[in-house]
Amino acid sequence: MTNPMIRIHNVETDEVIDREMNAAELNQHKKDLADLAKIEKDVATATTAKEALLTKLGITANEATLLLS
Amino acid sequence: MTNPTSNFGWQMPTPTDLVTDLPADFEVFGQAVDTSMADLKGGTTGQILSKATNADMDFTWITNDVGDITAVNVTSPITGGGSSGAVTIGVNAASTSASGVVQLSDSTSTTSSVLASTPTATKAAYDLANAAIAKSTVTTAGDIIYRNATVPTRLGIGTAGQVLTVNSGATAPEWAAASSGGMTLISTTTLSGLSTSVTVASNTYKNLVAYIYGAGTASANFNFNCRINSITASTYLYQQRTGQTGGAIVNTAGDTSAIDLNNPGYIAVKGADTDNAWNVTFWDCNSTNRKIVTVNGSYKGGDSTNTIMTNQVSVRDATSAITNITVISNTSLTGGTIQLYGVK
Repeated sequence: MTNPMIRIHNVETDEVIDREMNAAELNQHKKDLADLAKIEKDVATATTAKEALLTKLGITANEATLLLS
Repeated sequence: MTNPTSNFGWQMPTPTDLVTDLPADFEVFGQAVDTSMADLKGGTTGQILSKATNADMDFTWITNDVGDITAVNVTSPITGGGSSGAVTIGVNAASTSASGVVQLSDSTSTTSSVLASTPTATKAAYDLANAAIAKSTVTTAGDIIYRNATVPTRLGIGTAGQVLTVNSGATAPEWAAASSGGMTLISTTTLSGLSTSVTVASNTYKNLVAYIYGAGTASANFNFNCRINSITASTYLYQQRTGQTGGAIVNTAGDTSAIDLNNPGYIAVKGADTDNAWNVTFWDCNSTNRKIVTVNGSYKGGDSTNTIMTNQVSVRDATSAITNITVISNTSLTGGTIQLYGVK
C-alpha cells in the first residue's frame, strides 16, 4: 500500500516534487485526522445536546436566538 | 629799595631831592600808586577780583561763582537737585517708555522688559545662534534639511510622486521614484494530494498573499487547512473564525495545529464542487514578530445546501520569517490552485 501523495513546490528553483508522504508526514496526517474527528464529534455532541434542549424547552433554534438576544 | 620801585615803577623822592620838592614828588608817587590800584576800587559784597587782561594790575570785580556749584538743575531720568543746602539727586528706573537706570542680568530666559542683558547673556545667546542651522540653508518651499558628513545641508524638494529614500551609499537621503508597489505573482502551484507546499525562502516581501481557488476532490467532501513553515504544534493562537453555517454564525477561538480554511466540525468543503476561493494573507512575513494571518473565503458546503463564507484571524506565535506555506486537506485533492503573491 502506498502512502498518500503530497506536492512540494520550491519557488526559488521552480521545482515541483510529487512524492509519497514520509513516515513523519503520515503520522502527522493521521494525527490531523484524529484531531478533526474529535472536533467533529465535539460539534456533533454539542449539536445533539442543543437540539435536545430545544426540544425539551419546546422552542426552535430561531426562538432560542431571539430569547438570548 | 630801588627807585623807581622794582615791581610797579613808582617814582619816589631821592636823597638828593630838595625838601621843597618833596610835596611834588609825593604827588607823583601817590598818583602813580592811585593809578596802579584803580582796579581794586569798587566791587560789592562777595565779589572777587578777576584779571581783566594779561596787563599788570588790570582787574575787575566779578561775582564769586567761578569754579563753584551754585545750583543742580536736573531733568528726567535724574531727579532731585536744588540751589541751596544739601542737594540730593536720584535716577528713575528705566522702562520701555522712559530712559533711566537698569539692572543687568545674565539670564537668557527671563521675559523681563526692564532688565538689561550682560555680555555673558549676550554671548550665551550668540553661541546658541551661532550653533543653529542657518535659515538660509533652505531656499524653496518643501526643502528639507539633513546632515551630511559634517554639517546640516539642504535637500531640495523632489518632484511629484517621488518618495524619500536613502542613497545607495547609505550616507544621505534622496528623492526617488516610488517603487511600483502592488502585488507580484511569485508562483502558481496546482494543488495535489493531501498536502501542497510552497517554499518561499529568502523572499523580500512585506506580506504574502495566497489566493487559493478551485480546490476539489474526486467526490468526497474535505476539510481544508494551512500551515506556516510546516509547524504542526498547536501554536496557531487566538484563531477566531466566523462562518455562515446554515444560517448561524459560528465563532470559535483557541489554539489549533493549523489555520482552518473552512469550519471543521460544522461544514466541510464540498469535494465535487470547485466553486470556492480563499484569500489568505500572511502579514509582515519576514519580521520576527508574531505572524497575523487573515483568511477570507467562500466555498460550497458539503451539505450541498449552504454556501459558506468564512473570515478569520489567526496569530502564529513564531518569531521566524515565513519560508513555507502548506495547504493540507484530509482528502486528496484532484484540483485547485494556489497563487502566491508578494506585496512590498
